[in-house]
Formats: sequence, structure tokens, C-alpha cells
Amino acid sequence: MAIRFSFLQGFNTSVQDMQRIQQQAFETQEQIASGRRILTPADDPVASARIIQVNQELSQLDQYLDNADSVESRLTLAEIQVEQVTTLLIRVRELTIQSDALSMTKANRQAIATELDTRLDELLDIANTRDVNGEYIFAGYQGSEKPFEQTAAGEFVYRGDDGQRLVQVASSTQIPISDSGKRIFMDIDSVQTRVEATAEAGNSGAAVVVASRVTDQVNYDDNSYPEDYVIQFNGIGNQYDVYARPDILDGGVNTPLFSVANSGSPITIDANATPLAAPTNLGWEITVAGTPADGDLFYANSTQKQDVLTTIAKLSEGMKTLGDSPAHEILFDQLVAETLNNLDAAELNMSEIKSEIGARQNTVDSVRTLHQQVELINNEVLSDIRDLDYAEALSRLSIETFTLEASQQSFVRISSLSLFNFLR
Amino acid sequence: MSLLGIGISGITTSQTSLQVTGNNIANAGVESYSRQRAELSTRPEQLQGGSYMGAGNTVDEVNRVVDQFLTNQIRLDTSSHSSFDIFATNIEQIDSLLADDFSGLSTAISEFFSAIESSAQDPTSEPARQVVISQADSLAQRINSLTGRVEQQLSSVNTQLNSLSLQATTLVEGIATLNGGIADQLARGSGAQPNQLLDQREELLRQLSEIVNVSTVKDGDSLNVFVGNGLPLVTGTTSLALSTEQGPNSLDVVLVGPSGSSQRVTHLMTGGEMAGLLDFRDIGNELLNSIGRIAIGLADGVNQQNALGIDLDGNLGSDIFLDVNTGSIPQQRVRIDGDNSAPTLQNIDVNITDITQLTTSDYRLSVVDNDAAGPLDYRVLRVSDNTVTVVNGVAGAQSIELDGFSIDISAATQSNLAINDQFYIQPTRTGGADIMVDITRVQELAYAVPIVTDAKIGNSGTGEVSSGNMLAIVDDGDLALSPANPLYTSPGVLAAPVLIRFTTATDFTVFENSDPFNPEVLFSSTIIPGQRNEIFGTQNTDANFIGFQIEISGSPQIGDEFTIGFNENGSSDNRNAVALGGIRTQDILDGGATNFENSYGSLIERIGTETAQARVSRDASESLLFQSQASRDSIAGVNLDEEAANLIKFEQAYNASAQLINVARQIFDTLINSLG
Repeated sequence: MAIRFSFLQGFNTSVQDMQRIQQQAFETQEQIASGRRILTPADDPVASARIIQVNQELSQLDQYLDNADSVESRLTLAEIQVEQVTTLLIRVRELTIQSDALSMTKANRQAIATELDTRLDELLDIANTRDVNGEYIFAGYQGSEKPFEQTAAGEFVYRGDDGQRLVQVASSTQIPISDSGKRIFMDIDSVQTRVEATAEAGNSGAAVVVASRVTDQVNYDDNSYPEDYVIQFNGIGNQYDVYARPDILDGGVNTPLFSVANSGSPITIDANATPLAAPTNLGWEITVAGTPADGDLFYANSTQKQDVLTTIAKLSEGMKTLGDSPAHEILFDQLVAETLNNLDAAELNMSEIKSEIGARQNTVDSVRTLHQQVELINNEVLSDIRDLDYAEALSRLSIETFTLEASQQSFVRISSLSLFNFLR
Repeated sequence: MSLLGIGISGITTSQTSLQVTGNNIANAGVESYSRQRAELSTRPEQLQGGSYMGAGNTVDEVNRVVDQFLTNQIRLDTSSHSSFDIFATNIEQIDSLLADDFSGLSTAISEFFSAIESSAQDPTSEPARQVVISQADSLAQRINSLTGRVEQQLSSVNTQLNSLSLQATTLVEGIATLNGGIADQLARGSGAQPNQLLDQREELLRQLSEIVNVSTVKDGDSLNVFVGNGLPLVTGTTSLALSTEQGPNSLDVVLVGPSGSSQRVTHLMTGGEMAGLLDFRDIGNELLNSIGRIAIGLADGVNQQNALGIDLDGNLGSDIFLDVNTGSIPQQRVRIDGDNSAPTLQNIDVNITDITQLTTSDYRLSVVDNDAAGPLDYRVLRVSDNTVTVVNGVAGAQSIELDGFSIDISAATQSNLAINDQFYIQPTRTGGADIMVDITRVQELAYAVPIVTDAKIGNSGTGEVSSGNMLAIVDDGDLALSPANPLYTSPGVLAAPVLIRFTTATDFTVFENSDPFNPEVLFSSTIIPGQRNEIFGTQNTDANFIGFQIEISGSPQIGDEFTIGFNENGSSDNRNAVALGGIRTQDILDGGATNFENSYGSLIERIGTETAQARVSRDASESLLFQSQASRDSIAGVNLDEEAANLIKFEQAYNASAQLINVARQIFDTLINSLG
């Protein structure tokens, strides 16, 4: 027996089928219009999560590329500045050699010293360079503070810190985009060991160090270096007590090496003087001016570094003060030889920094190339999982529209077949 | 029986058959109509002159052609299809919402972190900092509005549950009334079937099964209707009402008895739109929890990192987003069961303690007596996997720590608790609604790290010191170096500068150097030259923990000194900004397994999969429903061609019977005329 086919069922089936095909065609149309294979995550949940992931990577890469661009421009800027310093140092070297010529007299040197002083100002300007935001670029983290200043003693001090700003250019690569003033101008090997004196920042008195120098290099190297010394003003005894730093740090009783009576301002604390109780002949002295408060501290630290500004300033000072007497000529020759050596060290330091900058630039370049390649691949992956295959979609659409038309036509034909048509 | 009588019987039955056919044709387009058939039978034959002679025919009854099995099948299929259909419709809306570029979170998250990274290149630039705050604001708003949309849909689910229970109530009332009507009609028609009423009752049942899956039992002429495992909705002519009521945790469906007493039957609502909506409500709540966890993680993660830095004013970083445990938020995470012994006096706080451990589950806290002694004990159930944690109570205030949050019960609340009191804990549910930007001034973004390290210029060795990173900031006035008293203490100030001095090439001593004339020895240790050596403890519980960490590398010489001081005027420092930007790729959630964007991605995947499944189930159940509908129609539906043929058939039968009468008249005439 044939299956009964009810009137309603016939209509419902056909209508439902047509609706289904219509919906499919509509979805295909939507895909074609948007160019996307996946319209909502439910169309392909796994691919959707992947799309999010790839998009996240892409936006991260974008950021890295952006960072790399900014790193590049800052490094270029830094390179120009180091280049400027190098050029300046070459000129200083020329002047130095020029000043040591046999025909040179004090008067001639004074003229050279004038240019030297201009160069020194220029160098100080470079060291205190500010960027477009008004930040001092060689101040480490303390970009709002002027990093280099000349003290009353004519020495140069660095008020910044070691801070180096890093920028992330890849998930595990951070590139420094700045070098501190300390690294560029201060941290330069010197031929001679030196003593550098500073007053403790927390001092309550007004006394400052106005000079510090090695008075006897042989004694200093033999008896002091690399020892550091701490000088405390003892208000009760009205004297300066000089301590060896390890004595301060050992946790025990601090016993001064020797004391110098505070006989007025300025006062020179000479650690090389023979009248002192042992140990004598430490080879250095510092001069303090102003009124100290009880307990104020001063440090006489050993170092084998000399900042390039001081190197030039010392030379200029020598040109201006040393006369034409044979003794002075010998001193001046020594000074020139020392300066040339120190300039060598400074130039070496500059070329080191330049090669560091170059290395960073290389890193940025290779990281950028890598990022661009990954970006390209990711875009391809994204297109593969998200974008529509138009050829496939269009042929699908034509099949669907064809089916829809066929079912519409056949529905009209079939539904017009009724026995009632023949009951006349 | 005479020929005339037989003819008349034929005419009558043909007429009835034609009438039934006509009714079938007229109702061909009515979905719930079952085709009818006049059941004919031969009349009892009569003994006539030694033979039994046929006596024509008669209409026994007019019957519906139905198959009860198929009718039940349609009901079942209707229930399952309605359930999947409404579930799919609801979840499809969320599905497209999540992945949309304008409503989804992925772009907002990545734009926020991109803003931080761009700003990190230029830490003093206020416009760049302003962009970070604007992006934080737009991220918070995006999370708020996404959460709002989901909440809106959940509240519409509740509205729908309510209106569905009203509809169901009307339907069961109708069925009860029809039960009575059918019994009456049967009695009046002495057993004749009230076909239309029967069809109508079936239709009401079908409509009811769209709402909820029901089972029926025939009891005489009545149909009793049950929901769940035999809870009666209709018994004979009495019916119960369905309604909704706000439960402790969510809106509940209740069955209202004749006396007005109500019974929670939410769990019995299997199948039908009710079940679909309830399923969706579960997904929606889970989604809110997941979004909430991302929001809480973001807010807390970013705040924690910002707190480790110092801002442009030199102060410790404050909150960028609103603190996740501030104000009434901890209380909103707990819902108190209204049936508890003293619900108004039982305030409990839930504080987020560790975002890496947070789950997206809800929890249930019950007061129990576990150790049969002392204070009341607590039982915490993690709803997602039914893991139970039992905590023995202590006198006074109590804090139960698990899964990254703590349940804080004050002593006052504890004294108002009784055994079997219940609390519903939703640690992350409100997270998406709560997140907002707390920071107002661009200066408050803490891009710098509080410490700055320095190698003494006079060092003769090649030792280098790293710039250091902050581990913890503890407010503690004591300077003693111990795990409990890190050196970095009161806000904004490093308690003391630290000095590290090498006494040999490998041995060093660490001093607290606030009095440079009498530095205090903290500890001594050694390094391995040429390697990166961590100087301090890394964990709060480690020896020599100081709240930050530095590394010394290279080969220091005797007398070399390194110092660590407070980063004053560190406006150009971007170390903490880089760390803030790094949160983006840091695997923070799920115990350190996934980052925020990936967590959101897997959420999209999860909802997408649910939606795809719902679509498949909907389509499958639709075609099942359609098949049973077709089977039912092939038996009970009207076929117009069949009816047309019947029309011809019964018309011919009528004509023939009429001819019989004619013949009877002619025979009679012939007889009369022959007599004349």
C-alpha cells in the first residue's frame, strides 16, 4: 500500500525545503558580501579562537615594529651626538698637540686655551642636551634634572644616574635606547690614579670641597690606592678626623688615622704631610671651604677614571697658569702627555659606544625583518582560516539558487495537480 | 426489510459519509485536525421466507483516525525541538556579540596594552599617558557594556520564564476544563466521540510540550498530565498553577498548590522552552564569570604592577582600575539564602587574594558540624566539579582561603550562624560590572621603579649591577632586614640606601647605609665572578628578602662598591611601564597557563562550540519533529485527492441507493397498475 500523503504535509514539506535552501543561499550571499568564511564564531569555533590569537600576535607585532621604528630614530640621534663628541675631541687633540710645539709661549697658549674653553662649553652643552620633550637625554632616569655641572673647584660632577631606558622590540628582546652621561662622559680610564672628593649629600653644615688632588703620585699609588677615605668634622675637637673606609665599615669602633685642626676656611687636609702621625705620605690632599657642622662627612675616593670634561678643563687651566720657565715647561709637557693619553681613552670610549649603538641598530634591523616576515605569514594564516574562497562560494551560490528555482517551479506544478480539477 | 428501506439506509449512510468527507475537505488546512471517517456496518439481516436477507447498512460512529503513539512522539519531539531552538536563538546572540570588533574585548585589551607600550617609549610625555588612561577607560567600558548585554539577556530569560509559566498555567487549566467537557459530551452522546474536543485537548498538550516536557496517563476519559518524575499538573478536572519566584541564587520556577503553598520545581523543567532557557541561563552565568575573571585579573594585575612603581610625583603608584576588593564589592559576591536562620545578620565578605588561582566556578558555603566540637565548621562546594573543602571553625573571626579568594566571616556573623545555613558565593560574577578606571591624573601612572642602582665610578673591577626590579612593597616602619620587614617600607621612601662592598673578589657585605659613618651590616655572602648573581632573597619567606632584587655580574675587585638608592626625580625611568606593558603577554590566569587575550579567545571558542552544537541539535530535532509530524499527517492528515475520490464514491453510492428507491417505486407501480 502506498503511503498516504496529506494535503498539509505536502505544503509544509515543500515550504520548509524552500526555506532551508533560501537560508543557505542567504548565508552564502552574506559570506560573499563580507568576504569572510566565518560569520560568527559558531561557524568554526576552533578557527575563531585561532583568529583571535593570530590577531593578538599581529597587533603585538605591530607594536613591536612601531617600537623598533622609534628605537631606530633615537639610536640615530644618539649616534649623531657621539659623532659630534668625537669630532670635538679630535679638534681638542689638535689643539693639545699644537700647544706643545716648541715655539709656543704662555701667550700663544692662552689663545689656544680660549678656543679650548669654547670647545669645553660646547661639550658641556652636548652633555646637557635636551630632547623635544625637554628631557635631558644623558641624565639616566633623572631626565628633568640638568646632569652636568661644574663645581666651585672647577671639577665636573654628574648629577644623573646609571639609568638606561629600554624598549621592548620582541617578546624577549629589550633594546637600550639611551646611554647615561656617566657611561659616555665620566666612565673613562685615566692614565693616573686620582682622588675625587665629595661632600656627603646629607651634611647639615655649609662646607664644600673646593679642591682635591694627588700631591705625590708615587706615594698615592704606593700607600693609598685603591683605598677610600672618609673625613668627618669633629665639632667638639674642632678638627677634621680622617678615617680609612674599611674601618668605618667593619662595624667596630671608628679610629681616625689622623686629625687636622680646623684652623679656618678654606682648610687643606693634606694626607701627605710629614708632621702627621703615621701613616703619613698618603699622597693626596683635599681643600674644604665654608663652615662645617659637627659630624659632617667628606669622602676622598680613589679612582682611575677621569671625565673628559675635566681632562679638557685641566689642560686649559695648565695653559693659562703654567709659565715659560723650564720647570713649568716640564710640567706642561707632562700635562700634555697625560691629556693625550686621556683623550685616547675618551675617543676609545666613544668608538665603543658607537659600536654598541651600531650593534643595537643591527639587532633592531634583524628583529624588524623577522617581525615583518612573521607578520606576512600570520596575515596569510589569517586569510587562510578567515577569508572566503570566492570561486567555491560563487559556485555554491549558483547551485543553491538553481535548486531554489527548481523547487519553486516544481512546487507550483505539483500543487496544481488535484483530482478536484477534474470534477466538472 | 424492504427494498425501499435498504435504499433509504444507503442514502442516509452515503449522506453521512459525504458530510464527513465535506468536513475533512473543509478542515484540510487545520494543523491539529485529525481526519474523520464514518464507520459503516451492515444492518442485521432478517429472516424472510426461510432466508436471511440483508437489511441495508447503518453509520456506527464517526471516528478520528489517530495513532496515539505518533501523537506522543510529536509531543516529545516538540519538547526537545523547542528546547534546542530557544537555546540556540539566545546563544547565537551572545556568540556574535563576543567576536564582534565593536562589542568584543580583544581589540580593547590590545589597544590598552599598545597604549602603555607606546607611552613607555616616552615616559614623560603627558599626551601619551593620557592615551593610556583613555584606553583603560574604554576597556573598562567595553567590559561593562559586554557584561551589561549578557545581563540584559539573562534578565529577559527570567521574564520569559515568568511568562512561560503563566502560559503553561493557562494551558493546564484548559486541559482540565477539556477533561470535564469530554466526559460530559461522552455521557450526553452515549459514547459518541467528541472528536473536536479530543483534537483540541491534544493540541493544548502539544502547546504545553513546547513549554515543558510532560507525560500523560489516561484515566478513564480524562488525561492526567505530569511533569518531571510524576509531579501532577492536571488530575482529572483540577489543575495546578506554575509560577516563578526569586530564589536565593536565581529565579526559580514554582508549582503553586490549591492551598497556595509553593514548591520549587526548577530542576524538574526538562525539555521545552523552559529547559532551553534554563540551560542558556547556566551558560550566561558562566560567561559572566569568565568575563568577570578577565576583568578582575586585568584590574588587579595592572594595579599590582603599578603599585610596584613610583609616579611622576615621586609617590608609590596608586590604583589604575578600581580596587577589586573595595567598598561593597566583597559583600556583593555572596548571596545569603533567605531560608537561613538569621539571614539579615549574616554578612560575609569574599575578597580576591590571588588572581592566578581564580576559577570561573560558583561556590556554595554551608555551615556544618564536622568535628562535633567547638565552633561551627564550614563546607565549601565548588559547583563546577563538586569538589568539597571542609574547614574546621575557630572561635571569632574566620577566613577561609581557597582558589584565589578568601571567605571572610566576622566574629559577629559567626555568632549568628546555624547549622545548614547556606551561602552562594560568586567570586567573579560581578567582576565585569565592577571594573572602572580609578586613576584621574596622568602623573599617577607609575612608570618608574623605586630603586636605582649605581656602581661606584672608582671601582677597579669589571663588576656590573643590574637596574633591579621590585618584588613587593610592604608598609612597615621597622628597618631590620627580615622577610617580614623588607627594606622598602613606608610609601614613597626607600627606608635606607643600601651599600654593597666587596671584601674580596667574591665576598661581599651588604650594609644599610642611612648613617654613612656607621653603616649597619645586614648580611654577607659570596658571588661567582663572571655569572649573574642574585644578591637578595626572591620570595617573601626567603632569607635576605628585601623587597627588591638586583644582580651583580662580571668580576668585581676588592673595595668595589655598589649602591641602591631611592629613585628620586626618576621621570625618565620607564622600567615599570615596560613591565606594565608586559602584562599583556604574561600568563596570569588559570594558575599561570594563559594570558588575558588567550583566555578571552578560549571563551569565544567555548561559546562558539556551544552555539555550533546548539545549531546542530536544533536542526536535528527539527527534522525529527518534522518526520514524526509527517508520520502523523500520513495517518491523520487529510488527503484532498482521497477526499475527492470519496466524494465521487459516496455520490455514486448515493445515486445508486436513490436508484434503488426508484426501482422500488417502479416495482410498486407495476404491481398497482397490473391490478388496475
